[in-house]
Parts: sequence; structure tokens; C-alpha cells
Amino acid sequence: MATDSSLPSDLTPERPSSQPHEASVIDASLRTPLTVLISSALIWLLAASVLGIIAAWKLHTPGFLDTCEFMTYGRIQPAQSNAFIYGWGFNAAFAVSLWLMARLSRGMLPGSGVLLLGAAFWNVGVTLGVGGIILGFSTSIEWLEMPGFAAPLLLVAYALIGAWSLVVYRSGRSSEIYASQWYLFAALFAFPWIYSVAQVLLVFAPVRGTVQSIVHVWFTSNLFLLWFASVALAAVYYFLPKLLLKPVSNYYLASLAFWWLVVFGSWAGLSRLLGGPVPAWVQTVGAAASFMMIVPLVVIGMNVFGTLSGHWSALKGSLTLRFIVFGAVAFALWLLALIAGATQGFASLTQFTYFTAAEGQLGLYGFFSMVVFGALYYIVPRVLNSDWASVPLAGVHFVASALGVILLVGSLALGGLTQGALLADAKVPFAGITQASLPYLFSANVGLLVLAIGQIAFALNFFWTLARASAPSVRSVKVLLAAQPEVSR
Amino acid sequence: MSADQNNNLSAGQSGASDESLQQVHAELVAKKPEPKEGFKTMPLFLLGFVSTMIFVTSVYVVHYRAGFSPTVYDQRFDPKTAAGTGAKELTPEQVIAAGKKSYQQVCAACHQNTGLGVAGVYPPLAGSEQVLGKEEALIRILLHGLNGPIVVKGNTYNGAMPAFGKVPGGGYNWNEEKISQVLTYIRQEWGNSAPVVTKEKVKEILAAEKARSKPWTDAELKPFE
Repeated sequence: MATDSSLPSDLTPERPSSQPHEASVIDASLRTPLTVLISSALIWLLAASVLGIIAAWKLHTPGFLDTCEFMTYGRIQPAQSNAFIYGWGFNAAFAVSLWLMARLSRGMLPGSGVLLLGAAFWNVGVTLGVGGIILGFSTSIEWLEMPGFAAPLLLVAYALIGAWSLVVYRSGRSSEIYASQWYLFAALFAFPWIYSVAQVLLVFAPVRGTVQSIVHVWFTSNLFLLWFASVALAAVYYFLPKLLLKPVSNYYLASLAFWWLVVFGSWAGLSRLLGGPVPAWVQTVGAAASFMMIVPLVVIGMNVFGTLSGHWSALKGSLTLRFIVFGAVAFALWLLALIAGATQGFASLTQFTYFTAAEGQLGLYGFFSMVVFGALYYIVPRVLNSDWASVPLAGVHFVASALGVILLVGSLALGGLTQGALLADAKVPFAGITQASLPYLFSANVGLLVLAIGQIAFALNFFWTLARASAPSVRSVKVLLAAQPEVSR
Repeated sequence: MSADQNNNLSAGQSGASDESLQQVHAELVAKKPEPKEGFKTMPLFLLGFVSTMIFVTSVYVVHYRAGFSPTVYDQRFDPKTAAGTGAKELTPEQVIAAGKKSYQQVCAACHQNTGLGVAGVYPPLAGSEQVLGKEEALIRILLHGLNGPIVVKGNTYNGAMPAFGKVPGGGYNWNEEKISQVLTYIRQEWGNSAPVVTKEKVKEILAAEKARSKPWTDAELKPFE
């Protein structure tokens, strides 16, 4: 766009890294913790994938593995969602947010001992939790299925990990707080709040009656919006201008979107209860807050697609951008589905059908995971100071992920609409509805398999790159600091 | 796939530096009120848009607030219209309970909680032929009051019963429902067992005696007994 050139100053590229400089010192200081976090994230991602395929297979072939107590749907399905959310999602979000915070604050990580301890605690906590679910100790509250003993461990681990984002921010030399950092701070402080409130009110001292479902829906929607979506939006606001060498268009509106999302977003989830057994005013307030999501939808759309307009060809050149733009489109669709779902007519069709599952996958996989994949393609080579081992594997990952998400979300959404229409028809017997949704469930399962191919390609690529980077020729932090002592302070 | 096509896969590839990202952020934030050409209409559009959203959702919330009541589960509930159409009939037990409440607040001062009254002044209600007799007279006594001597169960009482209905000179202005409740109560308490008094009957008699503005006497009531 012509207006871009008149903006105050254009972004200047990072200097080529022939000489060690600030950014590479920061990256090097993050190498060990990020390697640990990303490796654990990937292992959990693959584990969740295996569990997810088993669970999904049971939906259309109920006899599959039904003789084993630990493999029943009621245990495998929550184990899958917890492994995905707390194993993959959190580890990956920790890695990306820590790196973004360090880079934007221009502060290096002073030491990684406590951070590594936190990462270990977190993964032990998730292992105990997922193991507990498979052994039958599930609390049966969606996204909080992990037995009560895992929760305190997770909170302690979170504190040990999250504190370092503040440390790098405080020690950094940038006095500005960029849009990405707003979202990172929001996520950082929101998670302990929503998680501890939900644990206390639902697991340790359960509230009674309909308040339970209100607290629960508040927790799940905020965990997505204030944690996962915030971290992913931080990455979007960072990589878009960085890779396009162009400021975010309409940047001054970004703060409006941020506050709007934080203030109204935390209420929006209540619209999930539309038509449910909760007082009418709760549903009304939830629906109103969901309608308000139109504002961040428009503003973030203007930020993202305004910046991209005229630069679409850049997508061909950058894998990170492709992942991130895919994620941004998915987020827009997710918000649209949320807004549509808050209207009585649409909700009466989609409520309590596979459409809800489609929305969940669109948000967690289509948006959060895709953006994080994109970010990792940029972060990993810098942190390891080594190129990706295989370019074709990265290509396979993108194609498989994009196809898989479209297949998975598309078939669940269509299946949900069909299911909703049939449920509303009193003449159709219930068994007939189950029968009619089978083809959709099967194609969703194919989507999961395609996604798994992408995940395997990504994991292979990462561990291969890690192995190559561990070669002694790679520069370590000490060497970098020795070469340029003044940046370390 | 050439290396060029995936140039961000290498460690050496450069995006914008973080320093310049922050610098541009600072400049854009500082110049916020002065948007560049082509963006001029945007703040106006957005202001209108945001205001519209706030307005529309406020109307929505007010319309479907359902009285912010924790016991209302239907968004279309409106206490105003619901009070007229959906007012529930009280169960016989609730009618008696409501009547008892009114009785104890007011009537018991003279007729006593035991319903036995005070000798010579306030006649008893328990076993009284006026209470157990035709409701025509009983309703009239409560609506307009009663002055002068009256014979109940063989004893004469001389007191003043005030008017309880919405009548000229009436100090209590009880509505038909309340009167029917208290009468039903005294007709079924202390071993009494006369039929209930409906508020429709009370309304009917109130209409029939619209012209009356003073309390009844025992003699005047004779035709109704």
C-alpha cells in the first residue's frame, strides 16, 4: 500500500549474523530450556495424537480395543485432551512466550536452572495427571480431568516457569511494551487465576447446582481465550511485521482489540450455555459478550489482513508466515462461529452436537497450534543456531497440517449441522441420527491421521536438527559472550 | 523447493530486528492521534461501529434480562406481563397460611389468637353462628364493619368492628383476595369447618354494596343471614 512508505520509519532488518550480536546472545541463553520445552511439547503432541486416533476410532468402530479397561473411551478421550492441552499446548506456549518476551524486551535469560526444574515439575505433573486419568482417577470435569493431586504441582511448576518471562522483561533493555507483550502479560497472569479458581470451585470444594456448569464454561472458554489465544496472538503481532518488514497497519487500534478481548472475552464463553439449565440472565449476558467479539474480530482482521494486503506473495517465501496466516484465518472463523453460536436460532441447531467439537479443534489446532508451529519454524533454527535439517519435511508438515485441519474441522462442523437438524426432527429415531453421523466421524478420523503425518514429520525434523546442532562446532553462550562481552552486562 | 522459497528455515535469514519493531511501535503510539492519509475515515467508522455494538447489545441485555432473577430460565420472561397472566392459584394450605398471617397481625388484637374474643366486647369466632353461617353476612361485616350490640352463642357483645374493605371510611383497604383469605381462615380454624370464601364472592358483594358508607348493625344484617 502506498501509505506504508509515509509511516514514520520502516523496519530495519536484523543484521546478518556473521558477527555475534544481541539477538543471538539472547537466543543462545534460551537454548537449553527451549530445547527441553519444545522436545517435551512434541512428545506430548505425538502421544496425544495416538490417544486421539484411538478415541476417534472408537466413535465409528465401538468394538476397537474395548476389552482393555484402560483403553475405554471414557478414559482415552480425556487423556487425549489433557495430554494435548497441558502437554503439547502449555509446553509449546511456554517456549514461544518465553522467546518472544526475551526478544521483545531485549533481555537474556540469566540462568536456566530453576526454569528447567519448573519444566520438569510441569511434565511430571502432566504425566501423573494423564496417568491418573487412564487409571480411572479422572474428575470427569472437561479440561480439568486430571486428579486433584496433579493440580498443585502444575501451579508450582507454572510459577517457576512463568516467573522467567518477568525476569527477562525486567532485565531487558527495551523500555517499550509492544502489542505482543500485552498479550503475553495477559496470558501470564490470567492462567494462575482461572486455573486456581476453577480447581477450587470445581474439584476441591465444588460449588453446588448450576453454578458448577457456569464456572466450568467460564474456565474452558477463558483457558482458550486468555491463555492459548493470547499467546498465539502475541506471535501473530510479532512475526507479521517482522517477516514482512512492514509495521502493523492500523496499529493504534490494536490496544482497543486487546482490552475488548480481555474484558468481554472472559464473559463470552457463557453463551455456550444458551438453552441450557442456567438462569436466563446468565445466557443473555454471555450472548451479549459474544456479540461484542465482533469488535476485536474487525480490529484484528484490519491489523492482520491490512498488513498482509499487497504482500501476499511473501506467503510463498516464508513457511512461518503461511502457518501464521492460516492460524489468523482460523481465529477469525472461530470468532465468527462464537458470534453466530450466541444467536438463539443458530444455537438451537448446533448446541450439543459435533459442531462444538469442530469449534474446539478450530481454536486449539487450526489457530493456536498452527501459529505455534509457524513460530517454532522461526525460533528453532535461531535458538539451536542451526538450519532446519530437512526442508521437504517442513513442507510435508505444512501441507498435512492445513489439509488435516480443514478435513477434521470441516467434517465435524458438517456432521454437527446434520446431527443438529436431525435431532430437531421428532420423526427421526435416535439410532438413525447416530447412523447418519458415521461418515462425518470417519472423515474426521482421516483428518486426524493426516494431522499425525504432519506431526511426525515435524518431530523428526526437530530432533534431527537438534542432533545436528549438538555437534561441538556450534557456538555456545560462553563463546558468544567472550566474543562480545558488552552485550551481556 | 528451493532454499530461497523457505528462507526463514535457516538461522542466518533475517526478519526485522526487534529493536526496530519496538522503535516503530513507539513512534506509532506517540503519533496515534494523527492517522495518515487513507486512514482518516477509519476512526470515525470505528467509533460509530463500537457505539452501535454497545447500543445494540445493551438493548439486547435489557430486553432479555428476565429480571436478572436466579429462578427464571426462559429469556422471554417478563415480570410485568407474567404477573397478570401467569399468577398462580394458591393451594388451600397457602390460602390458610396467608389468612392466618393477616389474622394474627390485625384481628387477633380483639378476637384473640384463640378465636374466643373478650367477654362483653369482642365476640368469639370459634363456633360463632355468624362465622359458620352464610358468607353473605360475614363478608359484609368485614367489608364495612359493625356497630352496636350483637348476640353470639347466646351472649351479647357491644363493640365496634372497623371496616376492612376498600370502602368509604375504611381504614384498612384490604383487597378482595386478602379478605377472602382471612375469612377462609376463621371459617376453618378452632374446630370451625365452613366452606371457603372466594375472592370472586367478595368482589360481587363489594359491587352490590357500592353505595354503602357506614358500618352495619345486627338488625340490618338479618336479611342476609
